[in-house]
Amino acid sequence: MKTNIAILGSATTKFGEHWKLSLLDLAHLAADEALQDAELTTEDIDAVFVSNMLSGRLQHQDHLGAAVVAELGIKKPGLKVEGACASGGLAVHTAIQSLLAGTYETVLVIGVEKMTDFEASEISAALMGAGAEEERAAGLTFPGLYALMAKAHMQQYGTTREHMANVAVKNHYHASLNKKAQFPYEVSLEKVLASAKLTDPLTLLDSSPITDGAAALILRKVKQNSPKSNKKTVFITASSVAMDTLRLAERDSFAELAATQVAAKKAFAQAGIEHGDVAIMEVHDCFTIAEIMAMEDLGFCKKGEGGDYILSGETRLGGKRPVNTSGGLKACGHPVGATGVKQIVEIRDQLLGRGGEKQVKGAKVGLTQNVGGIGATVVVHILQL
Amino acid sequence: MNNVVSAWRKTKTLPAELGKKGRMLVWTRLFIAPKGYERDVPYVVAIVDFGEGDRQTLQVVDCDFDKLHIGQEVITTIRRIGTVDAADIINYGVKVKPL
Repeated sequence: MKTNIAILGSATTKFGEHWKLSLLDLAHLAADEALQDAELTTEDIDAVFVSNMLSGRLQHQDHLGAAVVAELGIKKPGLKVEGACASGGLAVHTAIQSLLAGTYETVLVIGVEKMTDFEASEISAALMGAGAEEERAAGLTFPGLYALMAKAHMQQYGTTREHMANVAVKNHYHASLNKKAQFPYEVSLEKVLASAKLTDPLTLLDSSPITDGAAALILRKVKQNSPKSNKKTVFITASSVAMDTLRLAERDSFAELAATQVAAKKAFAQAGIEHGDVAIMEVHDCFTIAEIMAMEDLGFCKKGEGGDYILSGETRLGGKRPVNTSGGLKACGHPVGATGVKQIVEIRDQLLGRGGEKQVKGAKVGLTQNVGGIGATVVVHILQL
Repeated sequence: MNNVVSAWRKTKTLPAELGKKGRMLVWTRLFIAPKGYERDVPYVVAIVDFGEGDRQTLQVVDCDFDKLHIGQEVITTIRRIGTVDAADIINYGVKVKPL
């Protein structure tokens, strides 16, 4: 059944290094801008859902729901939702359930992460909180885990380094048109291929960066028989979550995210649409190989053909179905708790025709895929004008 | 993060893990390490199949990276895990080496 949740307002901060802004400053900025966009005030908000992964470890703030509502001066329930890099999608999902249950009428979702105050080795260890104990003990990192999946994909389907590098080239091109992106410039295929190796086979330019940023949404359940507004409205018509094993070693295949397949299937059924209806997507390209797998696991091409599908240009701006017009996690940036919320902000902007230089003409249906860890959590949302 | 009780709990099961033979399914080499592993780079990590549904993600030591291949036979061994400060408890755990 369609969820019919209206997005009344949305905003993101600039993604990047915000030396002057704290975690709460970032949350406040995004929330204010989303409220303005919705022409609402804090008085109209019944509850706040905060998505974040690392505030406990990095900022020593383990009571983030309370911290954020106090910062905003909202005397209403404030909840933190955590699901590693899928925290954002999971918070939106949780907020939607509260609206469907009728508990709240209008809610604010804020995704926020503050990461650039720390050394890369500290962030790398912190992010491995999303992995399994055995993987941490082996000294694995997320570039390491995705490298294992990339190796499996190469072994099984003949995917090449060029296939992967091409994803970074495309997403940097999109980011070059996005003022809010961390890296608003293009990179060449040669540069990606020649950049420093983090692991075998993934390089620095295959990887999403360490980012500060926040994104916010204001959601409301549309009542039946309520008068139609003259304003163009984007609705979230599906919100689905699927899980997989925490340990990569336990899976049948290392070259796919089974949870993406399950979440996508559920989302398409919920919204009552088909793949052909989707005009635009934001997917979780934490590493280039992840976008290749996303195309396959979401069902937009056959398993193993993701690299060629992206190479065909269909998912580049100007193509039939652009993917990651924001620049994706790769080039727009990846403040982990904010990412899943930002994906929805980008799709809404596109559907409303306010995508700026990166506008996709006439898009009416969009999809987001947000991944926690190596796909132990996957959240898929479908948005419709 | 590291205390006597958790170190004891983790090492209790180590003897049973010793001398197990398995085959490498997929592997990678890391050049950038998380905190505590900086002194080990570069190091190799593999998913090893020990049969009967027992698959583990483990570091591969004493190996020539360029000679590793799918199905590479390995055996478990006990090694130090990461590096800790002088006053901390040294962690030991399972790694594998090629046979």
